[in-house]
This record gives sequence, C-alpha cells and structure tokens, in this order.
Amino acid sequence: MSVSDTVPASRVMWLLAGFIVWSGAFVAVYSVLSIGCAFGWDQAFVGPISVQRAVLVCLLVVSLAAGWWVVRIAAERREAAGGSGLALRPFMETAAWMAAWAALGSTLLSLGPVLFLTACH
Amino acid sequence: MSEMRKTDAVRLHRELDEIWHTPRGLPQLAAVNHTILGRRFIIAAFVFFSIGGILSMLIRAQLATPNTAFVGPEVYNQFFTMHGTVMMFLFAIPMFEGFAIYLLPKLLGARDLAFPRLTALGFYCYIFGGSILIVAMLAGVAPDSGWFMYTPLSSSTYTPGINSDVWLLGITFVEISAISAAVEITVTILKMRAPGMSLDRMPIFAWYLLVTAGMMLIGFPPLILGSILLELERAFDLPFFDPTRGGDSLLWQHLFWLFGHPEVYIIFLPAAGAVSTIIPVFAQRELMGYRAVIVAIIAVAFLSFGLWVHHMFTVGIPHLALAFFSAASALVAIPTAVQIFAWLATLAHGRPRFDVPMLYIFGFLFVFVLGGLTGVMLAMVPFNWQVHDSYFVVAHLHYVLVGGFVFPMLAAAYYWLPHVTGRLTMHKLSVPAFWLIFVGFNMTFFMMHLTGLRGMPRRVHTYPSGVGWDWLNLLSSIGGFILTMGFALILIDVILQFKFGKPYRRNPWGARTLEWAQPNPPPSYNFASLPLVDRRGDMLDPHEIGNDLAAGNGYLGFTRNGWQETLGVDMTTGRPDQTIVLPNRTFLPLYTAIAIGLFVLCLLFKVYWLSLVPLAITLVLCLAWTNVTGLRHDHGELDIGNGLTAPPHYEADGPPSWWGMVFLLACNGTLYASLIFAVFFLWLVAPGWPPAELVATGLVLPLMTAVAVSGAAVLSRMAVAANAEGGGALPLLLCAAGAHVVTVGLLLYLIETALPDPTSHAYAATAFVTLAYTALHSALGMVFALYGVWRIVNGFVSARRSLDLRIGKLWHDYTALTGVVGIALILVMPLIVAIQGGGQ
Amino acid sequence: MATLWWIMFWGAAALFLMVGALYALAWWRPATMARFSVGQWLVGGGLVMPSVVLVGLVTSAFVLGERLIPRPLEEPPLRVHAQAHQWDWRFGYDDSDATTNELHIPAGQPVDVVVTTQDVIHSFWVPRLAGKIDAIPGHENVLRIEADRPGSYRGVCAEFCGSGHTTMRFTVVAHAAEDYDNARATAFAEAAR
Repeated sequence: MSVSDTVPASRVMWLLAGFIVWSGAFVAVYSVLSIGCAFGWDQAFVGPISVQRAVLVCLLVVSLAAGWWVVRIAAERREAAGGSGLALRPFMETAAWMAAWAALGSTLLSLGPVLFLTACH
Repeated sequence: MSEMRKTDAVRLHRELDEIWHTPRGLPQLAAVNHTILGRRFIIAAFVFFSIGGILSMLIRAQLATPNTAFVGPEVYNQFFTMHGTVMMFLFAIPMFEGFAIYLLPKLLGARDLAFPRLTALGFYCYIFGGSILIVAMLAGVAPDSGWFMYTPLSSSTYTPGINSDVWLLGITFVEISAISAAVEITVTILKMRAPGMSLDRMPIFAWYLLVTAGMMLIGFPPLILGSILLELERAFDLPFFDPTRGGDSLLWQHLFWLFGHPEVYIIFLPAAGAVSTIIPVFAQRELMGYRAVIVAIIAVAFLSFGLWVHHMFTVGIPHLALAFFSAASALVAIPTAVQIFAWLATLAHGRPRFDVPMLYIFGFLFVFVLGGLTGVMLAMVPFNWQVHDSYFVVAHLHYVLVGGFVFPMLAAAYYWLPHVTGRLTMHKLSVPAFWLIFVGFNMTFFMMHLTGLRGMPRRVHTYPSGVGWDWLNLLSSIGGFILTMGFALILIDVILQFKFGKPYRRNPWGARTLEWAQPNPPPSYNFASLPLVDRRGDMLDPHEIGNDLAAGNGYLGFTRNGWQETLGVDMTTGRPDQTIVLPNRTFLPLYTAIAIGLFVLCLLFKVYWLSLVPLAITLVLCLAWTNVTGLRHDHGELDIGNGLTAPPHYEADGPPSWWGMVFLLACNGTLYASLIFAVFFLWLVAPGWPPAELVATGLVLPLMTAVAVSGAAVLSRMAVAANAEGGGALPLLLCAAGAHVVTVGLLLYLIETALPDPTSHAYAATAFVTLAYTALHSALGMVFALYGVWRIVNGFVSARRSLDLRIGKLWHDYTALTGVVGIALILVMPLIVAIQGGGQ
Repeated sequence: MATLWWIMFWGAAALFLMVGALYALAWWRPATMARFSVGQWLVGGGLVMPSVVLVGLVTSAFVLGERLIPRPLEEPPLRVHAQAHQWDWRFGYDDSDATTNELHIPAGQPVDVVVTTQDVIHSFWVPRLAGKIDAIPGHENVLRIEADRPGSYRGVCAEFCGSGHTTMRFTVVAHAAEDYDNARATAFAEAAR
C-alpha cells in the first residue's frame, strides 16, 4: 500500500477553491445590484456610465482576477505534484486545476451580462 | 487446505453474525443495521411513491376531459399539492437515501455507516413525518397551497386551517432524516473507506454521493429556516412574510428556491452516479473520463446554487439580475454534457452488452436529454416569461425528474436487486414493463409541452372545451394509465424475483466494484474482513477478493470484546488511522423519534406549553444515547490484522463523531447565513420599511453578552488544553456552563426589554429570532459543558480520550461565532435602517 | 419571440437526434466511435459544443429580453392598472377613477400594465400579447404589452391563488387607436350601471 505520499485533508479544499470564488462573486454581484437599484445608483453617472454599472464591472474584474489567481496557484501546485497522471497526488491537483478553470469560465459567462444589460428594469 | 479455509470462514461468519445480526421479532424495531434500514427506506419510499402515483391518477382522471365535475377545486388543490410534496420529499429524497444507506458501506468496504443509530432515527422521523401528511390527507385537511407553499396563500390569513401547518411541521420533521443522512453519508465516505482506497480510487458512485450529501448540507437549511419562520408567523403572528408589516412573500420564494433548485440536482446526481456505475459494467470497460466526471459534478453542485431565481423570472426582478441566473442555468448544461459524453466514450471504448438495466439507461438518456433541452429553453428569460407556470413547465419538470431520477433508479433497481435478493432477474416481465413505462411516460408528458404552449396554466382543476386542449389532455390521461400499468408490472416482476429468481453465488453481472465481493444476500456484518484496495475501486476482481475476505485474510478478520468494529481511514490517502467501534442495536432512536413526533403534534394542535414536555424528553433521550459510547480506560493501539494497528476511535484525532459535528455545524451555519440574508433582504426589498420602532439595547448589555458567549468558548478551549496536560478540565467546564447561563440570561433580558414587539414589524421579528437563536445555542452549550463534566466524573475522559470535550469545543466555538455576529447585527441594523434609501 | 422559439425548437431537435445517433453508433459500432479518444469526446462534445451553442443562445435571448422589458421610452407609453384579488381582476386607468372588469387598450402601441394585488400572489398573463408578470403583495410590477391589431384577447391568472384560481380569467380588448377613447367611455358607462 503506497500510503507514504500523504495529502493533508485541507488540500481537498483546493478542489472547491475556484467555485468558492465563483460563489462569492455571484453573491457579491447580485447583492450589489440589488442595493444599487434600491438606492438609485443607475440614475447617477460617472462620465458616460452609471455608478451602478461602474461598480458592477469593477466587481466582475475583481472576481475574474481572483479566479485567475486560483487558476495560477492550482497550475503551480499541479506542476509541483508532477504533471498529469492518475496517482493520488497529481490526481487531486489536476482535478483542482480543472475545476479552477471551470469556475473561471463560469464567472465570466454568468456575470458577463453586467457589461451590457439594463441594470434596474 | 482449502477445506480448512472453508471451516475457518464458517467459524468467522458465526462469530461475526452473533455480534452483528438483528434477531427476529421485536428487536427488529431496534435495528440500526444499514442493510436493514436501507431496505426499509427503499420500501417506504416505494409506498409513498405509490400514494403519489395514485394522486397523479386522480389528477389525470380529473383533467381527462374538459369541465369535469369529478372533484371540486378544494379537493383538487390537495391532490396536486400532495402529489408534488409526496414525490419530492417522501419519495425521491428518501429513495436516494435508502440506496445510499444500503450500498455505501458495501461500496467502500466498511461494515456499517458512521452513525447507525442516526440512520434509525432518520428512518423513524421520515415515517412519522410522512404519516402525518398522509393521515391529514385522509382526514381531508392536507396542504393545499401547492408544493412550494407560496405565502401569503399559505399564511394564516388565507389558509386558516391546519393544512399549511401539516406541511411545514411534517416536512421539517422529515428533513431531520435528510440532514442526518447527509451528515452520515459525508462522514462515511470521507472516513470509513477500505484501507488503501485513496480519494482517486473511490468508486465513482461514492463521489456522486459525497457531492450530493455536501449539497444537502448547504441546500436544505434555507428551506428549514423558511418553514420555521412561516410556522412562527402562523403560530405567533411574527410577520416575516406579511407585506403590511415589513415582511415580504418574496422572501419565502427566495428561501424555498434556494433549497428547491439544488434539490433537483440532489435528486439527479445520485441517479447519475448509478448510471456512471452501471454503464461501465455493461460496456465491460471502466468509466472513461473519471476525473473529468468528478470535476463536472463539483461544477454542477456549485452552479446549481446559482439557478434558483429561474423559478422567479416573473416576480419583477431586474433583467440584469435575471441574466445571471439565466446564464448559470444554461451553464449547468455543460457539466451535464461532460457526463453524457463520458458515458458515450465508455460505451465507445468498451464492448457493450445488453441486459435489462441498459434498457432503462437508454430510457433515461432519451427522456433526460429531452428534459435538459427544454430546461435550456426555460432558462431563456423571454421564453420563460411566456411559458412559466404553464403546462410546458409541468412537462419539463417531469422529463427531468422522471427521466433524471426514476429511469436511472429503475436501472439501479434491476442492477442491484439481485444483490438484495441473492436471485437473478427474470426477463419475462422486465422488458414489457419498460416499454409500458417508456411509452406511457412520453405519451403523458410530451403532450403537456403542447398544452403549455397553447396557453394552459398549471394547477387549474378544469378547463373549458374548444380551446385546443381537449385531445391533448385526454392523451395525457391515457398515457398516465399506461405508465401506471408499467409500474404495476415492475412490482409484480420484483415479487416474482424474490419468489422464483434463480439463486447465484457471486457477482452475476461481472461487475468490478466491492459490493459484489460479498455473498448475496449480504451478511449482517458485510465483510468478514476488510479489503486492501490497491487500484481504482471500479477495477477490482470481486470474485477473488470475495473468497479472500470471507476467509478472514483482510483487516479485522476476527472479533474482539464483542465489539462491532470497522476501520476509519485518513480522509485522502485511505491509510487506516482508527478502529471504529459502532453501537449495537437499541430502541433509543425509536423512542427519540416518538418524542420528537409528540413535540410536532403538540405544535400542530397548537398546545404550545404542553410541547415543552416531549421536548424535554427528547433532550433526555439524546443524552441517554451516549450511555453506551465511550471507554473507561485507554486502549492504545489495537491490532487490526496484517501487522497493522490503529487506536479505537475514541482515542483518535478525527473520529466520525467529531467530523459529524463539523458537518452538522456547517449545515447549521448555512441556516444562520440564510437568516442574515433574510434580514438584509427584507430591509432592501420589502414594503413597509423603515419600521416605526427600532431596537434600543444600548452598548453595555450586548457587549456583555458577546463577552459571556465568547468566554464560554475560551473556557472550553482551556478545558481541552488542560485535559491534554492531564487534568483540571472540570472546573473550567463548570465555568463555561456558567458563562452560558449568563449569556442566556442576558439574551432573555434583552429580548424582553430592548426589542420592539416582535409582532409589530418584520424587523423586530428578525431581531427576535436572531437573539433567540443564540440563546438556544447557548442553552445547549450549557448542556454540552455539563455533559463534559458528567463524562469526566464517570471516567470516560482522559488525556487520550478527549473526544467528548472536543466535540463540545466545536459547539462552543460555533455558538460564540454566531452569537457575536448576531449581536453585531442587532447593533448595526438600526444604523443601516436609518440610511434606508430603497424599499418600495 | 416566435423566432427564438423556432430556433430553440429546431436546435433542440438537432441536438437530440445527434446525441441519439451517437449513442446508437456507440452501441452497434463502437469501433467507429473509438477512433476518437476519450479526451476528444469530453472536450469536443462535453465542453466546446454546448459552450458554443449556449453562448449564442443566451446572448440572443438577452438581446430579445432587452427589447421586451419595460424600459423608459422617449414617449412614455400609456399606463393602465391591473389589480388582482381572490378571484377576479379590476382594471384602472391613470386618467380616471373609474374601473372596468375588462382591460381596454389601444392597439398598435406599447402599453405598460401596472400589476398589483390586494391579497395573495396572482399572475397576469395574456398569452397572445406578452409574457406574464406576477402580482406580488406590497409590490408594483410593470409588464409591457402590445396588441398588433384590435380584438379580444383572453387572459388567465397564471400563479396558483386558491380555489378560484381556475376561473380567474379576464379579457383584454384592444381598440383601434382612434376608437380608444370612445370605447373606453362606453365601458365606464357600462361598469357604472
């Protein structure tokens, strides 16, 4: 039994890291949208765009940056664990890396509409 | 030699069976064994499925022709409400739980689940809660506001009888079994696998169940909170959902669907797990894309929490907000597509061979892919605005739920039934039954797409003639009866298999997973010894392993102290790290469920003071559960066979009960987070804000409360530390209990003096619930602290055996954390309310 | 709207047939299918194909949705009020205190219907004029409808609202723009009688 190459339990969480960022981004954008609409941020403007949209787009950018950060770390961890393959260490790290990419894509697609749709109607 | 091996095997079997088996007669009610309880869950779920099915037949009889006078709207409303409720809460979820409870330890190579008595408690709660609903229906007072119970229709103003209370209390009672199953499944998968079964060697079904159970821990609390709040509104007039007093019916919709959409995937994922297990067997090739499938189900699990508003596209939410949910709803199709193509690739790279389970798999693919496609259509906002709440939605949801759950479960039934019966399937009825179900199903529900597109709304008890709905409805009704005949045939088929099926020795399908390494029907202890898994869990040779294990050549191939022993392993690597001693059969789960049931009945019949009696009995019974657990002296490392040792779980770092508490608190934390969401949601969206009167606590009392509740946590941490040093925990625990008493006292004083009347406004009502939540947790914290004292006095605690104290520590930490957050919320809300810009 | 539906319908039919055909091939001719590696199936079929389809579909649905939502227009549309209660509808108009039990609107121009309720949740749905919007207690929701030509349009309550849900039907009458004021005056007179 090859049990010497142990993986700490906390590392399992890396499987979820990307999507935890997605969840945070989703909740943040949805809440800020509701708050902005309640307080009329869509009626106030900075230059050509409304305060509402400016804030939402900023949030989207921050979320994508955070998602990208997770992808980078997952990629490094995967490299360090020895590339691809089905043994435990690279297995978990590769799955985490794939999940991080999936989450980044999900963030872009599910929150991308902040770029162009009407905010409060 | 082989003769000797055989006698050894028989002797070992006798010894183990003596410890593990459940005698006939009355002791059956005390059963805690997962094989027995899994079967009972499945049978009970099938009974409820039949009840739900009969209701659907009544619905179809009513709608077969226009202007029917078979039943009036009052009865019809109970029919469809109960049909949905029974199918979702009393059939689908318990059926999957039954499968999981029966199979999981067998798949993982364990002898039982992590918390056998909790399994039994869950079963009784399910049966009692379900019975309350069915009895209410027979008495003519079933819930009648639709299975999603929208307020204010379900509020006391518009449903003054006990109909809604039956739903809220009965379903919450049943949810106890869902939560306990979720905790149990999670802990079992993470901690109780066969030695060597690292996470990357887990059978794919276990991955599906792990993800599903995790989703249940996060998905069910919003519903439980919503039910509690609505019941509080109905019973004590706290206006959480009353728009005239700062409440909002939309809050219910959010809480309900925050549960309700993940719920769909909670139902689908285990079924997909069965598909991912069965297809490889008949493709004669292990599952292709194992890792991609794991990533896909994790993605589904998360994305499914970002879809709930697609049930609310027509409530007047801004287009941009709808867009997030629309996009996420479309996105969730991608991981589903990954699974569909993984199955395809498995077939393509295998040597496919036909048998009855595959027939149902193809039925599943046909129906589910159609349901998925209409699901993507419904995710498109403009289309949804058109067909929402029409029969198109009814068609869609039956395609995904029947396609995504019932068909795979029938495949699973045909696949695993030989495991239960020890007999082979007979094909004579299985194939015609499939065709009846397949044709009947499509005939019933395909037509509903068309009636929906032609403008027929849901939940109408009749419809006028001549608007183009007549023949479609008639066809639906005829299809429904064909479908029912199919299910009747399946029932007969199953009975015939039990009676006349040909017995076999082992592994009839040529499967390569552990559960087939057992003799069938399975023995009470599952495995005479536990296997060493040295490759992926779906690439094993059950025949070879089976003989080896029966001869006692694996781990724990002996008995010790009459204990029910199984192994606990490291979460990721599968290295054995503890010998888990499981509790034997007991009537306590039954008694506890009866006590909880009496409590629920007291609430149902509104005798609130009397309800305190069964509540107290429940608490006492829960403490009595611990009587048989624990050890009075240190055992150190125990031999587990093959030269390895592991301490008993009471002396291990992460025993199942500790992890159980972690996951239970995670679940509880989600409930609390939902409560905080409710507070902010009402402030932002509900009409009738700001409230006339704000909470005026001052700073001193809240801060004192925060200090007291944190103090309890600090003291309990000091107690654990002191215990590790060799003693002195007792006075610290007593102080912790004292700190909890102070906390409860302060909170009750605050509630009494500083809160506006909770019935005056939703703001005051939420403040009340926030404080009461901490008071309740602190009161239980006192019980935990005193329990620690009791265990120390009775000699169950030593530096090595600190489990009781560490579980308490988790509770105290949680109470302190949520308590401080709650107090901060109470202090901050008046400031936030003051800057109110919105509301409506 | 109809275009979106037909695109989705034919798209769904094509995808369904494709999946069916692939599975049939995998079953009867696994060798032909095994020429593609597992990775190719997963990335091509599971990831790329649905992503392309869904991004296209979602984007066009968003564009269509933008056209349908009641955004402020250059010329504010006529506002009418639909008030639901168990189990009937009353219709009111901004320029009059009178109410009618049929909704009268001018044809050929957008009309904003302000939907409210006195008791439980209802939903305003005239299938041939627009999608639906719920009447939520304590909230005002606005639905923009437009009738292309004069005529009677049947409406139903789409959200289950109790034992009278089935019969909570109503009619929207669209009049040619020039007849609208007269027709409505007649309706008021009838309602007053």
